Amino acid sequence: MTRAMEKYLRGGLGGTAFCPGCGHGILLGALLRAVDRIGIHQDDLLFVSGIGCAAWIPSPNIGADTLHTLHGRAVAFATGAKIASPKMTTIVVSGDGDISSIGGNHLIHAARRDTDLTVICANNQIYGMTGGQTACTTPVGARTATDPAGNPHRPFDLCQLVIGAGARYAARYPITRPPMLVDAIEKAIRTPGFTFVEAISPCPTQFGRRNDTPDVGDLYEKVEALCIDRENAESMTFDERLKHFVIGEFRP
Amino acid sequence: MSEQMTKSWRRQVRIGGEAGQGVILAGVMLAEVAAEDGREVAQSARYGAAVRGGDATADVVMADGPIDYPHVEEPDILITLSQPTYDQYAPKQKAGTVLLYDPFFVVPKKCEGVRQLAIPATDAAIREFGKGTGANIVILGALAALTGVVTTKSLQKVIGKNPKRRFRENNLGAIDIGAHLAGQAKEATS
Amino acid sequence: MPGLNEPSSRRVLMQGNIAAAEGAIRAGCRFFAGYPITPSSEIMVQMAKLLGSNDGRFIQMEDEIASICAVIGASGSGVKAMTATSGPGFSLMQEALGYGYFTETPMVLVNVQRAGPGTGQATHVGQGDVMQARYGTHGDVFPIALCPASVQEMYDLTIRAFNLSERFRVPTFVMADEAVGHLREPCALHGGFEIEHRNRHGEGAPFGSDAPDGVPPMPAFGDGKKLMVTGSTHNPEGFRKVDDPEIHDALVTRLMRKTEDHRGEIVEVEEFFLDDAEVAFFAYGISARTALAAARRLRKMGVRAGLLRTKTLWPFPEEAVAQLGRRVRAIVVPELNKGMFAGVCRAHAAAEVHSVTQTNGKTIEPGRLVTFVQEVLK
Ligand SMILES: Cc1ncc(C[n+]2csc(CCOP(=O)(O)OP(=O)(O)O)c2C)c(N)n1
Ligand SMILES: [Mg+2]
Repeated sequence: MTRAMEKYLRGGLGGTAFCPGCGHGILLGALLRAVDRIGIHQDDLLFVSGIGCAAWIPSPNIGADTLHTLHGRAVAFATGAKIASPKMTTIVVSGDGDISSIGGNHLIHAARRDTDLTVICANNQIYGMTGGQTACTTPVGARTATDPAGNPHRPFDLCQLVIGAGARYAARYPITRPPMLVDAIEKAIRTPGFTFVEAISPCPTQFGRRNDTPDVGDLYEKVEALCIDRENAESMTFDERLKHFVIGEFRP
Repeated sequence: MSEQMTKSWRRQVRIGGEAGQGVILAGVMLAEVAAEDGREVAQSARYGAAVRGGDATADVVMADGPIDYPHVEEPDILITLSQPTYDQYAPKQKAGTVLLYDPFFVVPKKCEGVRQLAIPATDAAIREFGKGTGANIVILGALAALTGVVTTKSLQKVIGKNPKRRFRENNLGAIDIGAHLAGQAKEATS
Repeated sequence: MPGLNEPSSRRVLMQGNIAAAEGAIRAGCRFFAGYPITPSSEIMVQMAKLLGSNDGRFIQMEDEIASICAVIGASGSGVKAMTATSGPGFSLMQEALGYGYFTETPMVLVNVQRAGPGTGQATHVGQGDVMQARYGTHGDVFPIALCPASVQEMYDLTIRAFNLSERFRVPTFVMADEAVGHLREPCALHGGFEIEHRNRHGEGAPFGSDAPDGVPPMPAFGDGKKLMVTGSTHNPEGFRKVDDPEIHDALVTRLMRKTEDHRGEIVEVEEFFLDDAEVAFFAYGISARTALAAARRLRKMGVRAGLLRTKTLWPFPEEAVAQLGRRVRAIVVPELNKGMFAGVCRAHAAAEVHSVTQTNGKTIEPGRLVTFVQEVLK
């Protein structure tokens, strides 16, 4: 991360706890750039996260109020905090398993209520912290600790899910395209009401190693190759789309 | 809770009926009337999980001192507006107690030593208001006139406090009807 | 405060659940999150009404887990917050209660106990959650749990729960039951108490304290303190320390001491006819009213019976029970479960402890206790 963003980092920290090549650090950088562009004062920022590697993106790294909560419940905690203190810009940052599996119900209900929150989901398509088990975002056929022969189930399309539930704005970009991610996060924070950003944040340790891409460079290239713009995905069948990362912005 | 130990006036009233008949409301109102009379009072209810249908029981304990156990153990007065609650409670009534029942719903049976009085409240409510709702208040009017556990004056006062004009008018009328029925009430002879 | 009526010593007939909501508002509660469940729902409905007219915030969440999490989030924002629930909802809240305990978040939970386990009998009374209040969440915790026996106490003890919770930064339970929650009795919404507020602007780290009471200051989100709140083991500043044995032990120990060292301030018991008693009831909640009626009847019959009634379930009134055990021949514990507190009593009282249990969704009638004591004394 460049020096310019250091002002947003909490002092006294040696570095992040992420594995080499983890996308979560890049997402942290993108998030801070978006916050910086909007110019929100640090004292007016509350970051809420659940449990998992991604939940460590804001906590303790960001020099603002950080609320590191329970697995799956970040959105519910954030809802209470925001309603009780509306002046705080309240941003949830957490993992795919956290936000959309164990916490999936809180996610759709916050979208339905249109609570003024921005939820950023660091989607590494797996449970990183607990050792690479299948998530509800794991692609069909991908090998995981609990599906060594390949995951038989389809993943959620999280952006469509939250739009269906009432989100004002949703966007999906990979951490391999930081400028787009920064733009999307900025737009999400600036948009009043419930907004959502899905950051594709590959996990070399748990996902790459099991799926023929142990090398970080290869993994990032594979992610890039699977990205397809929203407009171009429209002609695809549903099952084809599920094999890709359909990137872009989604609105109701 | 207080430690005093004087022997004091205490009455237990139980109202049974079918949920939806206004049994709980009658219990709450009776408790308010007793409080208006300056009594200590505890009101509770027993009902099933459904909002309508099924048995409902409202209990009121009134006393001139603190009430320890707030539930009815042995009713001094039992009012039943339905056969199932009559069948459930009437056989357990102690000798010397009073039982008021609505003959529209209840066919009485023999209860040794119990003073059973028919109060045709539902009939009267239908005649007067075009429907059976209101029978619960008619019964309270009869209760006050017959037994004096609460005063008719406080009953009127509690009804009179209701902000809805129609509620006040109908129910003040219902109290009078109840008092009138009390005057004519005959003891069940079966 | 706009819309909040002046406190009054006039007693008005009121339902227990309503009195709890009134007490919460009087204590300064301005946030409620909940999910409907019998027999506690009246509290939520009343809070929706009262918070609307008192510049508070009310939210009906998607489930009880979300409700308790929202309450903890709101409390972190510096607002006094509460939820109310019953059996199944209380079970769902257990993980987050541990989180609230470990992050030292003040909050009040009213549990209007019903007849469990399972979905049990939703509209009928039980006292089966008293151990869950103490041991329901994982890890070793020392929560505070109060137990009202009347409508007036639904009001008074809800206020007290807020005060204790703010004072010690400990989630605090009002362990009511269906009988008290649905009871209607005269109740005065009086103003005869002090209101405690958390130490929001004090000096010192937010998760560690050298002060003898062990309670650190608690700044709110937005106070410019760059708070780090985490349910993982943390040092006094809030940094996660998930591998440091000393920090973990020190934290768990300090949290224990917050409640254990302040038993004198927290525990409240009431004594009835104990001066010369040879047999005594030890009771709580609605069963204490059965016991009091029974004690009076036994006295009239010439039996020297008394009652130790506790308003505090946790921390358990160990000293009072131990003392009782030295004073009487036998202790009788009536409760609407299979003898949960009789067991605790036995651990602290030298006298013989008899358990009277009832799990039929009804309160115990005084006559049953009178007969039982006569048998015991035979
Ligand atoms: C109630 C509960 N269940 C399970 C866990 C164990 N757990 C910790 S992190 C995690 C998965 C995290 O995955 P994700 O949210 O995708 O984050 P990642 O680590 O992949 O960034 C699980 C299951 C827990 N902490 N709490
Ligand atoms: Mg993940």
